[in-house]
Amino acid sequence: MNRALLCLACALLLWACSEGTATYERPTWRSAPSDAAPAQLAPSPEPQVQAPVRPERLTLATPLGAAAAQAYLTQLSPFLVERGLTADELGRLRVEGGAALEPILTGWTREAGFAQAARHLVSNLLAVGGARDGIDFELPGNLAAYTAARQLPWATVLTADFCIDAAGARRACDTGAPFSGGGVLNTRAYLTSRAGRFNLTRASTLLAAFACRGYPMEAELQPRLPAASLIPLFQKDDDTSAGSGFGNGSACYTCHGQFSAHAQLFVKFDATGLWREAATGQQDPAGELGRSLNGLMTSHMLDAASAKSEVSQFFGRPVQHLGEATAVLAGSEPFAQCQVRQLLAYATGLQKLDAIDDALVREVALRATDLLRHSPTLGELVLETFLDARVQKAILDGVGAPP
Amino acid sequence: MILFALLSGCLGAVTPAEGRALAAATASSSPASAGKSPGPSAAPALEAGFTLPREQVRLLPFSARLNLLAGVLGVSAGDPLLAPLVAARFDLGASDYANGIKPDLSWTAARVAVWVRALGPACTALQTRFPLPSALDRFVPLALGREATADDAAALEAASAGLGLSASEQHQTSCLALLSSTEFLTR
Repeated sequence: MNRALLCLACALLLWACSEGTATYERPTWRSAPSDAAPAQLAPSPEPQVQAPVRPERLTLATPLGAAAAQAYLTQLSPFLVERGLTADELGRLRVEGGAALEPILTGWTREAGFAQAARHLVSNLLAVGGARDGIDFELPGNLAAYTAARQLPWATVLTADFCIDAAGARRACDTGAPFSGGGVLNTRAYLTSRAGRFNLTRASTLLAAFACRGYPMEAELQPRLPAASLIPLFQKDDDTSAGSGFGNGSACYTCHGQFSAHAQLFVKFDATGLWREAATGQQDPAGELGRSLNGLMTSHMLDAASAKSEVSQFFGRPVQHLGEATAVLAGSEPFAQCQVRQLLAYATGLQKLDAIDDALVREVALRATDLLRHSPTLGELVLETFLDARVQKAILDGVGAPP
Repeated sequence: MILFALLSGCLGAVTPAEGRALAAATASSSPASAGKSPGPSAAPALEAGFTLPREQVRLLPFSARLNLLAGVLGVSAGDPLLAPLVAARFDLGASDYANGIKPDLSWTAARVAVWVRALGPACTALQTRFPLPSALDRFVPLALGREATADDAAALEAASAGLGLSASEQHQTSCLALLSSTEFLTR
């Protein structure tokens, strides 16, 4: 029965993840000329691969008028700075119209309300906040607010090797993990609220919140671990015909070949979010499927040494632990694009992230990151996102005030 | 172009505008341009990056509502005037994830009642600065981010017509109506 339930869960994930995953594109670079061509033959022409160009910000042919600009910022201000427009801003919009958008938005990114908005963005993404059982569920939100307030790269929420206390001061994170990094994921708030069998929820929340992905995702982005390296439950990738008897049949490997790599990063965190050196990743023989001993979760890995090790692979890169994995994620194009989608969803209430035009997201992310050469602040992401004409048009169309 | 050159030689300098007009005239009359429209092609229409349903109305998160109100009052979110709202925050849709309370952005009649009741002290405090409805022209821009209209005044007048309200009661009624409106509380 447990196996049936697990494969039913996999079926649901398989169906959910087949909806609208974005295509991962790697930049191409001019190839070097070959030295091996014989001297008497003319060399083959090199492929004319264009160096990538930072996309220009798309602006409206006619700047927004005063009324439209005001309507636009009235929609955004409660979410980006948690207040209404000030008399000064209203006056400026009356005079300058759309030309005032950039200076006003820039000013917003330096306000305390912006840091609070960052707090709520992350807290809602991770469903954390408050306190319980001696665990501070505000740590992830504190780090997000700190990162936004000090205009640190937004990726700091994933790469920070510190946490922030209620007074805004740096402190050690509360999991006791010996590695550095991990940001908001290296908090008991995240780990305990997402504790679950095989560490599936910790892995899937990480991917959904910061890469806008589910399982299965593109294999070129997240190569599957070899099936033979997984416990038999997850090796199967048989035909999903109705006669198989369980949910999606036996196509567990399709998802779990990728799940395995990410879930392994959490193998040493118990259900309360504390890091345990002695974690083995072995199934508790008397426990529910997916649970190990002492409040820990079962590993996907077959080999005992691999099962108890935090060493894994993230987006094709070998990593020693969660801290290295989040650094890989933070430097990836999916992260940059996902943060654009999350910002738009947060500010507009859009429910389906994949309903946002892929080209818009890609271009905004490439602009904000300068073709992945720069780690933008949340403020920079906000400016590039909300100064884009396609975003302005969408929001104004939605309030019945098309530009 | 040949005609342009000839004309400039015969007539002296040709102004740029004259030159463009001549060029356009010669181009449009030439066999090569037959059937073609002069001038640049139209830029493609701008596509929105996503679609928001026009009927979608979202209650603002509790923290945003509180901060909006604090801005109208000219106080911080921790001011005692807002304490009744903070005390009722979970009834008003605030979250406490640690204890299993998710944000609830539904705007029910019960929730409106809680909001209106908790708003009383704040509206009382506003009467000195913004005695409503006479101060509507100054209050609406602050609260709603737009200019007051005749419709705003008419609506408030209609709501209190024939009730024999005192000035204080009129202010309270107007204040509660404006600060409990969907325009103030939703996007």
